[in-house]
Amino acid sequence: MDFLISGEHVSFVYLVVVGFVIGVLGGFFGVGGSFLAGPSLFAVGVPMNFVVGTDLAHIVGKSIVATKRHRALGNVDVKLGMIMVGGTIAGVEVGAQIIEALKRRANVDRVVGFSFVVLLVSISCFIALESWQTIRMRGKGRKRSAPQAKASAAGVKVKVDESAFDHIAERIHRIKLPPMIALPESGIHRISLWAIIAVSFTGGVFSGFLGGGAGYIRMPAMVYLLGVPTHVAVGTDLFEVMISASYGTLTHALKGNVDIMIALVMHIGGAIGANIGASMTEHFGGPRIRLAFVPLPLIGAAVMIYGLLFGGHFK
Amino acid sequence: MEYSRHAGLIHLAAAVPVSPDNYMKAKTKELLIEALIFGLLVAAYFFLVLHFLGTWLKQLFDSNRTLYAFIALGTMIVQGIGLETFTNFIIQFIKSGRGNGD
Repeated sequence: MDFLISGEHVSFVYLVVVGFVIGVLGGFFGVGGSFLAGPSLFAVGVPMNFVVGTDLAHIVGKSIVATKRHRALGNVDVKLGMIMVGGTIAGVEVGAQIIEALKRRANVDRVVGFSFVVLLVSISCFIALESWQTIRMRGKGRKRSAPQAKASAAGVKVKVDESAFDHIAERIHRIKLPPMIALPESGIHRISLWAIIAVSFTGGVFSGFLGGGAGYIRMPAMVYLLGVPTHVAVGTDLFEVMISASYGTLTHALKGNVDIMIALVMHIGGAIGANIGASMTEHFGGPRIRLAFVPLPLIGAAVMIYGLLFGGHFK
Repeated sequence: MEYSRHAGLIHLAAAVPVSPDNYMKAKTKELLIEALIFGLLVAAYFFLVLHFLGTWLKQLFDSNRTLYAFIALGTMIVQGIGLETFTNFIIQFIKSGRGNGD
């Protein structure tokens, strides 16, 4: 099929299938999926500037569908999402500026790139270890002291989740740096606003470095650092992706980097996939979703290695 | 025994106990029907945009980038929100029709 705007010829079925796969992953894990969409579009000859912008436009549609589904399932904390959007956008801008500054120095690309590979592999290993321990702990029938337990005790209806590493989030909840806020939908009784902003800002900086939404960093950060239940972290991350990708689509479209027709074709598969992926979360517990999440940062790492070895196409 | 809280199943089963297996089957079937209707609508939407707006969008891309940016975002939002709402409306309509038929 010929696409007039980018002037490319790409298979209709290929785009629908790519959109579907990314939709399922996005709906289930709460990630944008640019680590997969970018290389998939680039592989069939779409120019890199159109890859970045068109991918963002497709993510907007897919994340709207998945967020609506997660919202219906009670998995979206709008208050948390709105706070995180601010931190993420600021972080993206800072990340993009830092990478521009670092690029002027010799070999910095390589050093930063390999640091990210180490980080992404570490995230994968940590989540694998944690979710495996949690599943085993649950098998032995041991109870844990979850941060959500405080909200439950206060009579607030919350999503149930468990983690063998709850103590990390509990320590962060103990930081008394005003203003302190409550996030009833995430089951968080009290948390410093600065902790949320710090987490989202850091995620944004990574996003600025890597070029995608960096959901594979933000989603685990919400679970382990903020103590948000996995299902709510997935839904809230999608809500945030929806807003930040809309902003990205506008800025890239202004620069002439969006072929909206390619994005619409991808969304045919993406919309169906996102619906199915989001609905699938109903049938899995938090630890199992996290265990299934493990390969995603590894894919991100593989894409980064490919970029480093073959000219940094995916940055 | 578990009772389904799903509106559609209550219609069909008339408050008869629903086993977890049957509940899962019914939910999966409903999800697939919803995905099928949604998929058809999204595909139809794309071909309508291609037919009526395809050439105009290309001209807009070349001549007025600002308007193109907002229309590009708008088409994605309509596809995401409008079509999903329309799908839900169709499904509710089918359910209510089935309920009256019973």
